[in-house]
Amino acid sequence: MNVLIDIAGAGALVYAAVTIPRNARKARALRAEAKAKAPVNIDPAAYGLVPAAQLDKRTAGPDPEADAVTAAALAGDWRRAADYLAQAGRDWDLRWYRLGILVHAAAEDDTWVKAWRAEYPDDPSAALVHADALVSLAGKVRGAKMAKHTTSEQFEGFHRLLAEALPACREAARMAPEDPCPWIAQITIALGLGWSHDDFRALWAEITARDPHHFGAHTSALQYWCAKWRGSHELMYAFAEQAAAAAPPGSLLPVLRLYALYEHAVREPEEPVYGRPFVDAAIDATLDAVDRVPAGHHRLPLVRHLLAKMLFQKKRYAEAVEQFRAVGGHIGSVPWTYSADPVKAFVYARTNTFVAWEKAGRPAPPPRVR
Amino acid sequence: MRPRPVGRAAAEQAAERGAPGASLRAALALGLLLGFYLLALLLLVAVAALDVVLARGTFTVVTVQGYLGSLAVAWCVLRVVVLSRGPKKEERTGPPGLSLTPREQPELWRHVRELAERVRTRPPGEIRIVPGAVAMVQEDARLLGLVPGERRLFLGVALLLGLPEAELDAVLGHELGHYAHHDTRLGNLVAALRGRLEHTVTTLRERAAREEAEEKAEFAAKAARRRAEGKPPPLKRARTRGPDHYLALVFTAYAKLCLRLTEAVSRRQEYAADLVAARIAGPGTTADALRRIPALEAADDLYLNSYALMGWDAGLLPPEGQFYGGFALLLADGTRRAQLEALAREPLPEETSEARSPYASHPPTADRVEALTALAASSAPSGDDTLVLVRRPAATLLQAPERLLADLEQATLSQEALAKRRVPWAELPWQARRETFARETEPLLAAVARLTGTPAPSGAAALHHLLDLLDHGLLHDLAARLPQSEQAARSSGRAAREFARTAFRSALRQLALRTALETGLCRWELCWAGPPVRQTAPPWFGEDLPRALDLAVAEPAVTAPLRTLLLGSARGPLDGTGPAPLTIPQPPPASSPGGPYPRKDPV
Repeated sequence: MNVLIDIAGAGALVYAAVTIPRNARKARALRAEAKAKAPVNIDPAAYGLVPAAQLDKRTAGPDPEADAVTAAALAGDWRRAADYLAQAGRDWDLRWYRLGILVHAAAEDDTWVKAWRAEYPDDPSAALVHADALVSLAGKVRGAKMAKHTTSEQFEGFHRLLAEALPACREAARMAPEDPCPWIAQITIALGLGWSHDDFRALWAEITARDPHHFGAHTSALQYWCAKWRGSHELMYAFAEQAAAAAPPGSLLPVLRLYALYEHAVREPEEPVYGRPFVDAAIDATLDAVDRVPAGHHRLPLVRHLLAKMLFQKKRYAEAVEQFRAVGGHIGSVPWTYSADPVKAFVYARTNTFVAWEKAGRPAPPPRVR
Repeated sequence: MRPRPVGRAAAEQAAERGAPGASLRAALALGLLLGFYLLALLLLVAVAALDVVLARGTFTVVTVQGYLGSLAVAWCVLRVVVLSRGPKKEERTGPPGLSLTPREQPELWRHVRELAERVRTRPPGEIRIVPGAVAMVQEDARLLGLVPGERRLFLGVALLLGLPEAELDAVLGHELGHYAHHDTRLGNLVAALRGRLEHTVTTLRERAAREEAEEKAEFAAKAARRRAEGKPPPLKRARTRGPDHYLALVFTAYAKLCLRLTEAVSRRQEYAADLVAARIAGPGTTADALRRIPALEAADDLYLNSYALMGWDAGLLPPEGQFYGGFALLLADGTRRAQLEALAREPLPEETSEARSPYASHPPTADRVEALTALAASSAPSGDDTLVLVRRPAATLLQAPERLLADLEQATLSQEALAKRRVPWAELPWQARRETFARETEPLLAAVARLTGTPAPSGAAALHHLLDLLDHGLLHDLAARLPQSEQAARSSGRAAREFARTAFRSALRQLALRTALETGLCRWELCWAGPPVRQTAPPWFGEDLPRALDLAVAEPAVTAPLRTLLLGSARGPLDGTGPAPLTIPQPPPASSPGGPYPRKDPV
């Protein structure tokens, strides 16, 4: 019988010899995993950054004049809004940018637009604000979720408002034949109503005839061509590449490649999208474009946000640090707004950039070859 | 296990051999039942033997562990197999239905008794009509099936209404064949075996699952405690499984073996019963019945869900005696009958030998039909086959069928169902629709009442009244009193107003449709052939209603088109060109000129 006991004892010993090291190894791996998951923290003030709690989610960059105009309009002073829009003159992209600010206010409360239109029924700008506000309101009613998370009530309001917006846009275009903005506003309608490629190209021809390198029109049209709306990855990249290549010096359009890349990355989270060969060159081209535009350009914040994200993804931390510093405390922009929690997404990228940069010994950004 | 012969050869073989003798089958079932207890005993003996071996050796920690382990296993086995109560004795009386006495239905009884005589078996003591397209037999045999007991025959009402008499004979022959072969006497024994096994396996599985859940909960609690104390969470452990899990595996394997064996026997019994049916009604008729029953089942499902229960939510049922009886109306429809015939003629799905479940209680219908066809080919056409051509419906066997169907409802429907209001078939669709509209427009009318402080008028006046309020620009005051969706509640400013407009428009649409129903502009009619409810409306109605609704909820509101569409004395298309259509009770105005929607001349 002792033999049996011995065998059992030996078995127990062997079992222990196998399992104890294995369990210890497992425990070590689990601890390491937990440590990797634990949030990395830095002190934003030490780097001159805005703390997470004070980040402004509403806009891509600071624009005190826009805030003042919005407040005045909502208080009923439409003349200031009209003046603000008129001062953009024939810089069609600036006009489109300012229109966006007014439309944001008008989609919340349109009393001032009604007053404006009552006094000047033939003012093309008033008609334009009214039309684009309907488009924007339709988007608000629909919500930004995917179709399967959108209720039929939301879709009904969305389609009713878009049906109202289209004739309003056409009317505004009739009143200002040179202005591309009433046409650009229709890009969003084309998205919502699922216009065919032919119809969309006809619309695009109207826009490019009036302004071939309009920044806002291109970011809007990029949405149409990406896979989540009416296009595909290939169509989207082709559109971005064509626009970026044809852009004149001093245009920020090269950033479209990065925008397209980000759309691709969001759509295919499993694919190594950022590893594609053209990414570094696209970033460099965008950095060059940023250097050429005057400081305070109204599109710079958006471009810098995308650059910061891409540089972080490519581990070009020294350059990313520059962009994060430049964007400051406003984060209401792509790519962060695609996340359910934009502040978290932004702070994660920023913190890890600075931690990695610190680890590397705070290197200066490499000189760029022109 | 013996490889299963496939197809025709198998069917013939089975048909020739018939089922194994009753005593052999009884022995098998009994053996398996005893085997179950033997298996449990074996486990206990094995555990005890281990203990004995351990006791012989020197006393160490391992010995103690062995004792404890064996005790745990023994406890589990005993608890589950012996101590736990068996499943509650399922009522042996079968599904609820209506028992027919020989006095009430002499012809059916005489027919069944005649057939029983031809099969040379004792006729059933009870004939019970049950819902559905089923037929089955039961016998209250006692003492492991040694003492015969009361026999019961269950007949689905859908079979009585849907089968020709000759095919009903085939069904009855098949069921009586089960009596003749003593299948029903053994039924209880087999059921006891299955019940025992099922109970054991489910209990063991439940206990194993509970144990696992408890362990998980304990782990979660521990983690929470450690988190509260500020320590890192405990590291994950591989879950340990108790003896219940492994016992469940053993007993599941045994249960599978039993099922395979007993179901294989019961499939043979089906072939044997089919032979009896073929002797009674002819093989061709029996095959026809076999093919028709699945089609009838499908039709009965469709009938119940789409017709009989059409008004359920509105609290309405078809007239008395028609809840089941309406099936005959469905079958009387030419289109449906053609569909049914097509379904019954469709080639049966040929099951490959891999796709066949060894646990099915019946052989595939395709094999049964094939066996019967082979039989028909081999035997010369007998006198029976000529009788088949006379297609008397089986329902002619019944005395006062309406009475029987009404009694069947009383016997089988729930109290809730019996309390529902009965309306004639022709009225059922629109009455149901009206109730639905009434329920759906309630919030809107309540909003009107709250806003004006007086109860909203009923009928078409309600719409008039509401449109008056819209003309006064009160849309948003009304919409604010309607129930809000989650998204609408989150919105603000103009978006909130748009949500309110959308919600108001759908409520207004329901009220408009309700008004259209009440004024007779639109009709909802019962249709036995196609989709159960057919909506008929003037041709312009479908197009004009959305436009009129859009205008009514616009800012400022334009209510005239909706009024004209639904309430005007001269109703017609909004452009005012067309004559009022046929479905309107009032004669169209004589002066209206011919428009784009001319009245159709019967050709």
